[in-house]
Amino acid sequence: MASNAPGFEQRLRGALPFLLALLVVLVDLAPRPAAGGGGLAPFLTLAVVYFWSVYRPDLMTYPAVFGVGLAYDVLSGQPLGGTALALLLGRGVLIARHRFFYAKSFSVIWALFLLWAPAVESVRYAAAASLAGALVDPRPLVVQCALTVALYPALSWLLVRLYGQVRVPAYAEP
Amino acid sequence: VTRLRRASFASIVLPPRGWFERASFGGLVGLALILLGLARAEVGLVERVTHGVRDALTPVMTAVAEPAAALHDGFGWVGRQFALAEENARLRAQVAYLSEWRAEATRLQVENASLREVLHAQRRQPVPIERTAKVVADSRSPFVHTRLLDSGARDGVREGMAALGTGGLAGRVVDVSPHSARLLLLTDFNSRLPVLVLPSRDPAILSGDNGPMPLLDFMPLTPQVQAGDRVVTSGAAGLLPVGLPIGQVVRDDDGALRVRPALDWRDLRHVRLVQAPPTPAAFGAGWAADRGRVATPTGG
Repeated sequence: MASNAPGFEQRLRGALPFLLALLVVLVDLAPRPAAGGGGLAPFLTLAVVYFWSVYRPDLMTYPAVFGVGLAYDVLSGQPLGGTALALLLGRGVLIARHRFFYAKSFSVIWALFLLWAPAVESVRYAAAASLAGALVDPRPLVVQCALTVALYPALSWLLVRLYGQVRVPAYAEP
Repeated sequence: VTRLRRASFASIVLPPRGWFERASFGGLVGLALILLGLARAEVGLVERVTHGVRDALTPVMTAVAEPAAALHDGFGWVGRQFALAEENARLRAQVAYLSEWRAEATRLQVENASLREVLHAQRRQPVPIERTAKVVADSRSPFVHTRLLDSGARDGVREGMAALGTGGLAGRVVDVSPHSARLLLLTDFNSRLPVLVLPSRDPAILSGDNGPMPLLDFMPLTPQVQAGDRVVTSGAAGLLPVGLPIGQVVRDDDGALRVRPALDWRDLRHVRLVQAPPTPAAFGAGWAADRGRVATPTGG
């Protein structure tokens, strides 16, 4: 079964965006004691899911997005399903308006992230607030969103380097 | 060079269309909503699956946490070099101040021991240190302030244990699975701790609100609390050991009483988990039985 070897490699390359997003979940949740008790950090998972949902929606599928969100919820101890729901709806919006992204410059895609990230975060906020039965202070969320959007270009630069390692789309395969 | 130039351009691939897309969207959104709906219901299956996934990922988290912490330490190290002289002076002053207190504590300890002897009072049990656990994940979120610990029920961690960091109480253990546990920080929205304010001994409830300084609630009608007072765990309801240091009372801009935790957040890598020693309050039934015996000394 010699033909299995490239098959496995292709599958692995196809799973790369999902595995990468899982890794970023772990990086997002790694303890950063220096940041202090309520210390804030960017929500990099959001940026990674956005990147792959825009460029490679065939590899960052709904089940993949759901898995990433659920892993985040389980490890961070947030209401199970909140992040998963927010990311699913987020991908849904991107796919519905996917045509818009064709032949757009990076700055346009970044500007859309500026709109998209707060929208997804507000779904998470709504889920958390409705479960807590109270409106938690939304200011940290705004800061977290701003940090994420600010870091998007750097993250995008890194992910574009990796883009070449990911499986080519089915219709472009030789 | 050609590779790099090619790699710098990422082309957008068409999204997949078809029944699978629509079905997976609908199905998974439904599943997420069901999970959210069950969040409060404590369904056994959901909890088991969550614990399983968490236990499986905890070793991975531990592996990722080390290099991440080292990286952050690296940044912090450069910053700290500039503050060394200042910190040295501060520490010297603190050493001088604490030496005086140490002498005073020794004197009080001797006095206490002799008074106990006079009264035939039982020696109060020191708080037993049960376990040290490593912090492997940070909730990193505006909604919840929790930490994931690398030890679970198999390592002797129990729900309700108090977690101490450098300086004072960090929170308590709320959710234990075989190989991991979740620590609810005292700043979390859901955290409620029975505390005592010293020296007035006013009881209060310390309630987190996701801010850095939790609120002091349910004070007595005429509290004698002042800014700067010390706050410790009261041990009420046998939930936590008595007298664990928490922090200092401060008055915020609105005049509300809050507590600035003494805990050094920047050093929260390991926590000591302690359990309240068995007290009458912790074992209500036993306490009642004892009282019954005392109340009817002739009946037995």
